[in-house]
Amino acid sequence: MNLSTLLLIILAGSAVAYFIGYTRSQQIAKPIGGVRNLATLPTYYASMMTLWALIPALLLVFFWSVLDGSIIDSLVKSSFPEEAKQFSEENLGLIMSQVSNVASGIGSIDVLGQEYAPAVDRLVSLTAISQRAMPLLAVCVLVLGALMGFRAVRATNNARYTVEKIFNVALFVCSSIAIFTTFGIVFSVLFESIHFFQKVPFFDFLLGTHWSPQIAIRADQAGASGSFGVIPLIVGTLLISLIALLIAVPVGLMSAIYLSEYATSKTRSIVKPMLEILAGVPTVVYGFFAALTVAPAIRQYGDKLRDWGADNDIGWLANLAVSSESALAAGIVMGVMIIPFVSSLSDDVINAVPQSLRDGSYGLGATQSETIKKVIFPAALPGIVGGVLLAASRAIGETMIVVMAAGLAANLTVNPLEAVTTVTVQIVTLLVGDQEFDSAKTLAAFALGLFLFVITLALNVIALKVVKRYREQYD
Amino acid sequence: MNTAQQSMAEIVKETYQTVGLPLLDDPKMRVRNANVFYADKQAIFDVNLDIGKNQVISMIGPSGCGKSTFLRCLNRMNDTIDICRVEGDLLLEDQDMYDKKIDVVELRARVGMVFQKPNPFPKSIYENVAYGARIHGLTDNKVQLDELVETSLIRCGLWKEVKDRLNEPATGLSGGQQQRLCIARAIAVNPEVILMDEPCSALDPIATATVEELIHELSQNFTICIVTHSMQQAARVSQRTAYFHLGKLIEVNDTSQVFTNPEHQLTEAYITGRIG
Ligand SMILES: Nc1ncnc2c1ncn2[C@@H]1O[C@H](COP(=O)(O)OP(=O)(O)O)[C@@H](O)[C@H]1O
Ligand SMILES: [Mg+2]
Repeated sequence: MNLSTLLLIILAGSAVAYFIGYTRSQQIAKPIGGVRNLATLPTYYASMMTLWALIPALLLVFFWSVLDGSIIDSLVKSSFPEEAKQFSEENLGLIMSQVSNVASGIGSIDVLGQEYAPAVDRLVSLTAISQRAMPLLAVCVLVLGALMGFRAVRATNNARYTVEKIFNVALFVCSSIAIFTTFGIVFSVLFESIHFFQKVPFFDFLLGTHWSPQIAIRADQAGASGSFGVIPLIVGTLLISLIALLIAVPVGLMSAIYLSEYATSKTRSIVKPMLEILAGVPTVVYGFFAALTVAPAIRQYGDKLRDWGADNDIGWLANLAVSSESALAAGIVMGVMIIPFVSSLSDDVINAVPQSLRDGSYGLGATQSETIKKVIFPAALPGIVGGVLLAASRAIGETMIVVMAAGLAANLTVNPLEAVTTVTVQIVTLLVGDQEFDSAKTLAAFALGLFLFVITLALNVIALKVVKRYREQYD
Repeated sequence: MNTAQQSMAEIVKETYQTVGLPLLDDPKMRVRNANVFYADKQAIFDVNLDIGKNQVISMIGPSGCGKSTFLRCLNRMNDTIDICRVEGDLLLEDQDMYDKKIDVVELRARVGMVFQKPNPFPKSIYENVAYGARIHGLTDNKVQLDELVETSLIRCGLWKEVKDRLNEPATGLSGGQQQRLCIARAIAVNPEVILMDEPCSALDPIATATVEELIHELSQNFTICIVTHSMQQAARVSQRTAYFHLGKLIEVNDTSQVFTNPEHQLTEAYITGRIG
């Protein structure tokens, strides 16, 4: 029996339990003078009985499915031949997967050797047992639970509290899933980063100015031992994000001001959704737009400027060099991408400025633009800053555009016309190659990830703090 | 609408003709045949009223009768509401306020406004009072500006309370102090008329008393129009009282006359508490 059939059976069983609980509660209600003399409504008794039946059975199925693999594994390993006891973890894992291949009919026992035959047999029989036992047990638990629930259907038992409590717990569990996932990710990244810092000293990473993660794959290979200075990546990230913000903040803010203060409601209802379409364009589309349109255009203009500089003897201009992949191109396009972030968040906070402040200003004879400059903008500023910080953390985390338009060269430069690279791009390139999983190169990706996480987390925390302070001002 | 209200509405319709003395010699402001519409809905019907120089006139009437709407016509604050349309002649010292050539900004500097809920800007106390002076360029240097801020605050009786905390945020003041600050902010521009829309309705009795006293003092130099829900307040602060009902100006008279011997039966019904 497969899992989905089992789940269907369990659901059907709980439905039956609901029905029984409902009927039963009405039954007890009759002799004592009707439903109003029960501690609570029949539906609550029915729900309670359903939950009694459903939850233990589901828990059983869940834990069985999660644990059964590893329990069977360890049982099977115990019937490996003596010599296998000395193998390393990884080798054991390899053998185990070969064993399970053989057990499911792929490959032949000859490759492994006859001494593994008992293990294969054991695996086959254990799997069979497990597969038969689980549904049986689950149904037993279902029925037992339903019985317990049935006994709890009493006129004096307020099933409502039980049901409420269970829902409480269920809601709590759901919300903790998100939290635990976050913690899980953070810790796994953290542990891998610790491995990395065992190979590369922390301060070499944090303060190093040279990034070239090429590591000799074979010990005898010529080549670098790799250097993992993160500074060029930070500078590249910040440079591109800065350019993006220089584009997005003025444009986004101005359009927010236009939309919330000047536009008629009709214009607003058309323009606002159109602006938000920008946020829906996949970043890879922005990426090739940057790489194929913006970067070459910048390069062309740069070349023209250089020629013009050379003709007119303007020394520095004559030496202008625009690389075909540039921080400028990536930054501009990324800026366009985050315009809707800035504009829609700013629009919200500008709208949240109470009308009474506008009235106060107009009442003193201020014009609309004076009112915006001197009252609305300052009042909305903390919220706008919050929005900008959120947009900044979006920019810092953005990868696709940079991969396509800014290049991979880890130059330590603040010249927007040169190719630079960012933290996220390096993570991608570190992981797409064929590498051992525990090489410094692969682990570096985790360290970069942790680093990025800390930066964006800090930005988000600051943004939330700022936004919160702003809220307190009017409420 | 219950039957009592309905019959009131009929009275208004049939006998509409402002009673009392709506017109004055040499007034500060003149309103003739004013009609105000929100989209298609008419909120003010054919109002004729003069507002006397350096006097306090109070406007009373049930909620929704158009007091605020009328008041906001007097400095064109209704311009900020898209759907609002004002017809008729509204003159400030013989100058048509709704003339195309009139600069609204300048008009509002001459006719200031104080609102129901204190609405200090989220800036320092000093910056709040200096706001109008800055946008209209009333002072040439910091010394003059300091002086203006000080005199405005002194006139509002707020100076003693705030002189050591001028650079603190105005939102930290109490409600009554905030409202007096808003009045100081309005008089710092040296307007000729001050419009006040229920300036005390968000204040406690003690703060109310302070603000009323302030209004009384200001009336020596300013023309003041005040909308109020409290008839006692109207009686205390104003020389004339105008009673509005369903968008119509029913009666205007000297305050004492209105409260002791109302001419119109609707006015009487209102001040005796039969409509409210
Ligand atoms: N911004 C607006 N848009 C549409 N109708 C409005 C608006 N402001 C006020 N009104 C309407 O105009 C009438 C008068 O309102 P208002 O002047 O605020 O009365 P009052 O201040 O006497 O309570 C009311 O019927 C109200 O519904
Ligand atoms: Mg009002």
